[in-house]
Amino acid sequence: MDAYLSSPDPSPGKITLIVNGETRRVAAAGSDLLVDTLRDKLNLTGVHVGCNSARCGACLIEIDGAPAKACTVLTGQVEGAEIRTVEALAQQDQLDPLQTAFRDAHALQCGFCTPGMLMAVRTLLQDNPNPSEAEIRQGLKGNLCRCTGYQTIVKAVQAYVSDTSDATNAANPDAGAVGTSPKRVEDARFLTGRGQYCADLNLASQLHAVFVRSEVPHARIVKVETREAENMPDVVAVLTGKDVAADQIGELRCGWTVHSRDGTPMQGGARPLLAHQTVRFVGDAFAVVLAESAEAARHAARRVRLKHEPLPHNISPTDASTSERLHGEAENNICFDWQFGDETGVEQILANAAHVTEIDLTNNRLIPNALEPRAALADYQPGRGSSVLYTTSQNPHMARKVITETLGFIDEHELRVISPDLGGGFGSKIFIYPEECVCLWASRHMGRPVKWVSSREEAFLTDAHGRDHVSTARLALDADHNFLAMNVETTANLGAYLSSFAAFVPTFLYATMLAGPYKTGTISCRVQGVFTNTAPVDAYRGAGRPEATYLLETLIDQAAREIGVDPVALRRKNFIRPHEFPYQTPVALEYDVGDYEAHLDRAMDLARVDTFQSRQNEAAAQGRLRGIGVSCYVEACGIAPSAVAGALGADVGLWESALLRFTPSGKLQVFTGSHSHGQGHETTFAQLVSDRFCLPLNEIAVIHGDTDKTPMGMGTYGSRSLAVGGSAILEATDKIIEKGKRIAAHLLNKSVDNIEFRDGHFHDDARNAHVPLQDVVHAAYVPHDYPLDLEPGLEASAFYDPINFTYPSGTHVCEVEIDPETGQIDLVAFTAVDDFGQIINPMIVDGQVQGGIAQGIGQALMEEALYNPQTGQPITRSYATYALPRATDLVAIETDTTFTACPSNPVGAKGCGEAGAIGAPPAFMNAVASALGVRIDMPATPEKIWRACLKRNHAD
Amino acid sequence: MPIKPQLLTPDTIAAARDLLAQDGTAVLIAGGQWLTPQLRSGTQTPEHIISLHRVNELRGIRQKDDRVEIGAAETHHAISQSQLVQSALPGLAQIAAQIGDPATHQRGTIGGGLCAAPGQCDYSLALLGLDAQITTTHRSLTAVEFLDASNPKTIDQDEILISISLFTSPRTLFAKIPHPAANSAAVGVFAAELSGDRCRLAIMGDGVWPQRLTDIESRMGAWPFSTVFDWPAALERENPFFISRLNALWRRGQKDLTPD
Ligand SMILES: Cc1cc2nc3c(=O)[nH]c(=O)nc-3n(C[C@H](O)[C@H](O)[C@@H](O)COP(=O)(O)OP(=O)(O)OC[C@H]3O[C@@H](n4cnc5c(N)ncnc54)[C@H](O)[C@@H]3O)c2cc1C
Ligand code: FES
Ligand code: FES
Repeated sequence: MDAYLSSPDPSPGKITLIVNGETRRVAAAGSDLLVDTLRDKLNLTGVHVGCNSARCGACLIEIDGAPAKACTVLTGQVEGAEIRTVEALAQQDQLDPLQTAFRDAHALQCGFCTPGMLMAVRTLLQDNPNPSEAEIRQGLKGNLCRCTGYQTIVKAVQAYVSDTSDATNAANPDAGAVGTSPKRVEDARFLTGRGQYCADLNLASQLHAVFVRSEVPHARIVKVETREAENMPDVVAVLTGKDVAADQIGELRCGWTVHSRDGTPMQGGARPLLAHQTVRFVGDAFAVVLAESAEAARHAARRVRLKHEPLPHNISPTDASTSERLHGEAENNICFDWQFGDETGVEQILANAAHVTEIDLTNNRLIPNALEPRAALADYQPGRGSSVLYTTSQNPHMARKVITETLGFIDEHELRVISPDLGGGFGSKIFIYPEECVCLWASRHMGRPVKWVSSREEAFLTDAHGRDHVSTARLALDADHNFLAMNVETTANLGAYLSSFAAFVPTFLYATMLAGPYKTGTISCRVQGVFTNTAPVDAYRGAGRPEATYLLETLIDQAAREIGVDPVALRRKNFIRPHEFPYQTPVALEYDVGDYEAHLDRAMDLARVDTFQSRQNEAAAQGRLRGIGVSCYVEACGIAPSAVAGALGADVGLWESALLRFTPSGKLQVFTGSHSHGQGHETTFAQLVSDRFCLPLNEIAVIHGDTDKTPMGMGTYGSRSLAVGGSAILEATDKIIEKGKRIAAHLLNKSVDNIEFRDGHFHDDARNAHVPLQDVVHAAYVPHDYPLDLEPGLEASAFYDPINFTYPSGTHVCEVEIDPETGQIDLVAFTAVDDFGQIINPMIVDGQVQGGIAQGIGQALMEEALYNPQTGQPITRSYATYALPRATDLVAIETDTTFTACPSNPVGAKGCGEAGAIGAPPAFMNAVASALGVRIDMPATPEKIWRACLKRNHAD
Repeated sequence: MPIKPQLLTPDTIAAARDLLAQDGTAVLIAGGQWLTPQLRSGTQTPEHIISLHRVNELRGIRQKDDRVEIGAAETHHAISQSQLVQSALPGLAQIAAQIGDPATHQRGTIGGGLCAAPGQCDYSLALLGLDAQITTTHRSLTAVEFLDASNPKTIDQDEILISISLFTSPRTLFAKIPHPAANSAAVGVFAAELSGDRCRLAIMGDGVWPQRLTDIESRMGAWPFSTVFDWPAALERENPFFISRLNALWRRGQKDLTPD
């Protein structure tokens, strides 16, 4: 066989590759995946791994000028071929024109898909230098982006091709004013492949962890057989749930306690780090293999055997109460049976109302699918107070608290948690999972750093899923069509364990949003949270609010159909009016401000609703059904006033922090407790202070994601970063200005009362004298001529606890077209008009809206996590089985904003990250119902649509 | 047991065949679009991987009398771009053109698709519709034999698919609705008129194994074929959704063929 060895050298082998124009001799095996060789041997970590199964395009490179997914090529297959990666595009720090076009069009958020996307565009344009929009979308079909919704990427390509990049502000680093759209600070590193994601990091002598996971949905563990695996080459240890238990390690618990209607606290759901006695879902980890290479660990993991006694399983929330119990404490698998609002009052009104509309609906289970899989790299350093955990976390401080409490052998002050660049989160990286805890525990056990990177299949099986509600809702209307009362009964599937926020999401984040923008007189809501043999369910973009909005907006459309009124008119009639704010809803929240008709009117205009009929007729002439759907929403963001959170059962406060530090040379560092994973905080937060201090953006650095550097923070979720984190920054800014005034007063020989700060100068207007900020900074650090009673230095920190939630609102309008014979459905138009209050960077806000809508449309159109009810096996465990929206599935989305000032925080911002995921599903599904004449459940698959059409034909 | 497989890169079919025969765990790799995920996940753990990228004998698209022979290692891209395929087998060019995303299209091969999962390989339609003959190192099979639903002839571990030879027919119809995630045909239909007025009709899709509908072939008329006919009653009963979509595809595809 030797004659045909891919490389003549004996193993480990040296292979010659031509990479980015250089000839490289690499010590790799011919059978190594090229993606591993490029990343691990040549340190080309711009080549990302999103799936390792040929379906995401994050690893896309050029081989001899043609596109290739590096995860599908073996190293020995490309000896002598010309390989080009994203690292070859920029010259020094100079972005190439395509990269520039991407930056200028905001074609990237988390940046994880970006290198592959750039390479895909390059190869597309080689073949077709002047592609149409459809051709661009087709050319990007192999590249998933979970953040942008693709439209900005398409625009970037168009601008590049026609040489009309919008370079506004790009060349001008001064332009950072609030309300303008400077190009993002973080983009340069993402575009050049120099982002540092967790999987890109390595420590000397690290071990690689691979988890061994249950392949059965429910079973009692008899024995875990590890011997064979332990004896495999390069395997150092196999640790099991027994070892965890022996070390007296705690279990992961939900950080929010919900009480049932009878006053008892929720029951069950604690999650051991490795299953010890019972496995409860397919994917439940019961052992971890530690080896010198990831490959060795993967191979050995397949040799660890679980001897088990099967237990009956159940995946359906509605059958939970009659199924085998998952947790001893939770009778009938009910974790909580929670009630909110005046049930009796609501029932009375429902019994006597002129009209009652009732619907049953499900909210489909989703898998978040941040393109970067979770990862952890733990380095336990006994006695040095400097153990480090790198992990993919949206809230590193929370992670540190929960992980140290759970592990017990290390205290909060001894652990540094670093969350580097994050390839998207959407909620799924808020939670504390077993894996990162196990890595730290195993690092202590082995005395070596331990690294784990999730595969895409593991992500499908174990990332906390979203939604999964089954509900019945009734709405009472009077003869004038006023909403009198609403009753909602929901069964929420919690999965096999209670994830970090799992009890909070389907209760307080859900029921409190059921008023929407309407004056419904009274509302009651009952939610049963139940355990099933499925992956844990927790917050996914929107978290509770999309579920509430979908239910409410579906119910209203159904009511409009039943009583024969225009659904938009029915909404308008029941809106809370601008003069009625602050408005106390029947579900606890007090809305501060809003003008719902403003965005409704604007959306009607933009979406050309008045001429819809003619579009519908045109479609009908071609045998197609065209429908239009509207949804209006209010969401509660800026989470949250701590006292309110506490009253509702939170174990934590929900403030945010900031530390501002001027360096002696007058540059500014902004340390924030919130975390950016695509939202562009390094730009927007810098804009906030740039605006106040009149500093150019390139003299400001925003630092986040490191518990040893940043002040305590609660992290990023619930569209809270700007409203809460940004407010903390402004308060710290005020403190700096106050101190600066005292220094300036001294320098100007004036009383501090006479000093005002504006335009980057401290002014004494009476004397027409001023000192520039830079002189004040200098004086603070070189306090030769300085107030005696003032400490030197210029930095300030602030904690901000919001006084209220913020209440963004909006109207979304969707048009779809259906082919009744095939059931194929096309999104043809989508319009979103939102009120986010003060907007710091319109470009970034638009990106957030677009991306949220893409995810919302994904839920309505195609996404659904499926389990086989007979076997309990997950059906959707790869990108070949779980459909995510691709560039070809979406169209250009039209957006606009309206404005009401948010009185509840100093920034005036309301939050925009989740709006799209909230507004889009009901708009889409109402459009489907309008086309079909009947309602169907999400996702609107061709088969469901076809069946509905069939029924309709039979009825005709 | 060594965990890293060795990559072998023979340059002839004979050499590849010998290598395969020496190691019962060995696997072939062509474009790698299907195999590499299996290697990564550990579903396949061969000791040797034999790459076909240097075996030129497995390449080539050439006319042989009234047939066109396609080397097993030809890529979807090469097949869809081939002048010969476009003119002599336009239906095959259409199938190839719609396979994969751009990168998979460039690297994936017809042989890889047919060996990995013939039931989900869009080319199976053309194999049935163009009376293909499949040549391997061990045997020669007709398309109907290769794709026999009750006894599909999977390619053995030590066998190499060499080429596929298809009847030329410029008179074809192909239509497909792709699976929303996997991209291969959720519904696919292919029809061809072969020389001597013989017609062929093949279908495949989600839960429907690739098959010829011989009953209908005799009734479907010459190209551009008849508009309507009855689909098999059993299929209609079991999978009315599939049949409805098939029907729509057929009617529209057929209409597109007919000059106004
Ligand atoms: C993103 C994506 C989209 C896809 N879309 C489609 C689609 O639209 N339609 C469709 O039909 N398919 C589709 N596929 C499947 C794809 O066609 C097949 O995966 C095909 O390209 C595989 O060819 P390959 O050369 O890459 O096979 P490889 O992965 O190299 O090999 C596949 C299998 O065949 C064996 N093999 C390969 N060549 C030979 C040979 N000459 N003799 C014997 N055995 C051999 C290998 O040992 C292996 O077991 C898609 C796949 C992906 C990843
Ligand atoms: S396609 Fe290679 S990592 Fe996803
Ligand atoms: S920017 Fe595309 S996945 Fe995040």
